[in-house]
Amino acid sequence: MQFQIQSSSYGPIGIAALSGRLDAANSYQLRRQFDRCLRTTGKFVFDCQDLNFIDSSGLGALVTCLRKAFDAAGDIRLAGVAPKVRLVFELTQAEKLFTFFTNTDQALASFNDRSIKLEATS
Amino acid sequence: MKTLLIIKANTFAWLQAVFPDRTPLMASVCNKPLMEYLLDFAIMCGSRHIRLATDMSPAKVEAVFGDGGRWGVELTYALIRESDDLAAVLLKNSRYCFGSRLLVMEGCFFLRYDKQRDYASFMKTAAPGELMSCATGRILIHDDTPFQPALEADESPPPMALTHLQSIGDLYRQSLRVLEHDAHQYVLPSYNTEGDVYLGRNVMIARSARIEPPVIIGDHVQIHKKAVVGPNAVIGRNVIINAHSQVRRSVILDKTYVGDHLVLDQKMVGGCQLVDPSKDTMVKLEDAHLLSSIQILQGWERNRFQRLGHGALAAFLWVCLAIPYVVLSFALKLRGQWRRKEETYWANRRGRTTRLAGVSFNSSGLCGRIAARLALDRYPLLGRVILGDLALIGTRLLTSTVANRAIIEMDASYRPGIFNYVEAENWPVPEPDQDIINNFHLARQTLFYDLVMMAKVFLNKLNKETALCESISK
Repeated sequence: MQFQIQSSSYGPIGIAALSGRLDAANSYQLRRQFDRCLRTTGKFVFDCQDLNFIDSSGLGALVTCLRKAFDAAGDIRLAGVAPKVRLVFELTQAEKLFTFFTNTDQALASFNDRSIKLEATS
Repeated sequence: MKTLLIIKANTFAWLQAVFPDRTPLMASVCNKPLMEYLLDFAIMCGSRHIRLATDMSPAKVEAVFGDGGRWGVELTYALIRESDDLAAVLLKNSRYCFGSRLLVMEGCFFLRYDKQRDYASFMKTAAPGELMSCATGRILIHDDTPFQPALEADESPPPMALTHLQSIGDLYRQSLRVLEHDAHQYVLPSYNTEGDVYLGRNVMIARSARIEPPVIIGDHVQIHKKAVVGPNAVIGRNVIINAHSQVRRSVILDKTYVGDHLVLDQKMVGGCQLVDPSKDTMVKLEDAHLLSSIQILQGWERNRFQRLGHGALAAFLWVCLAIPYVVLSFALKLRGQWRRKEETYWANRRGRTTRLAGVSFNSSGLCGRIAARLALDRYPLLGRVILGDLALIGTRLLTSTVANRAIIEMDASYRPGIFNYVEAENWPVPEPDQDIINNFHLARQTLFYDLVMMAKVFLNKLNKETALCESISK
């Protein structure tokens, strides 16, 4: 996974490209890198286009990250989640916690849209 | 009237793609195998002889349906090639097919009928030819005897229709359709205690769990606290639905664990495979917190105390019989009556095999008689009991064949032992009854019970004359 900070009209936004599997083997790495980026910004887009699999550990890591982002008055937007990964979000009801977008551009643009922000945090 | 069922593997490719570890022929709708619906229909049409012609291994079907005795029919099996068309199948089964009216059901479909209607009269008078068809199968009547049409026009034919099955979505929709609308038309494998709730045997439902009809719940199911099952849920056999989970408009196949706080809505689950039939998406989850497949452990595999007990007794026998074994095996080897024999056996229900090296000897002569009475043919296997691979006394060992695997999977009580309970009986037990006797004792066994049975085995051996002794004869 790769984290980078990108500037936008709505301030700095962290973009994390998740790929392959997000499970017990690498969820710790996600948490650690997220914590590092959280010092710069609370707003994140997780690009999940290349994410093939997620299990309960990976999902746990994402929810932990989301909670920390909320604490920092930010949010995490998920982009390009594959249908089979989305099934796991649906199964665990985690889809109610996250906002999903088709691609990263839409997710980035959504940070300018106050209504989405309010919906996600409500 | 006879019936011929023609089922080919390629018509079930869609099922194999999603659930490769499940037998296509045993694919079920509302916990009842598709094959059983066809069997029921054939019986309602007046068939007493039914043949399944398939290019798949019929072992698992055979293990469930056997010779059809439970249904009061004679069920036989025939192998065909994938390339065989109807004419070729009829030709290959000519002795069965010709000379009587034949109901042919070919393909992969769900057959809708009504158990309360009379199909036998209709089938007697229906003209030969195709009765009905769908994209994935057809039903026809083949009759090589001259057809005599009924003089008077009969009433309209009883309701029957074919629904094609060519995707998981079709199977899912059919399951819910039967549950929601047509359950009264079929004999379903559960007790219908109150409207639209069908319960299997040994179902545990927590007091705080909620069941919302219509639901069908298979045998050996646990529904934990505050779980919500239904409406429109089909729960297979050996399923655990953990606390706070919700299952609605979903089908859960056999041997599935559903973790806590999960929501299954319009889904199909089999083991660790989660399928969304509406979108044709599927994910395999190897996660004990979410979904996983259940492996049914035998009491024997769970009970370490018993295994230790058997191991201790085996060690005792191993020490006591060491000197007689060395001396008598040497004497019998000199006479050329001592032979080694190796074979692979199923070690448990999960499909583990074990290779056993036993011996056989002729019990004629003094040395042979003493060796037989001391059960020295089993001596080489005692080590496997000490290691915990086998029981000292249990069910008979089954060789690792596909047919035996199917028997083991269907039989809840496979505990292979180097001795079996039949040997403790005082009367000769015919071969077909041996499994019944073994299962009877296995259901009652405790460590003390096994000790008593072992004593009986040795007493029997002391009193019985046996011509040939084989440690692994089965």
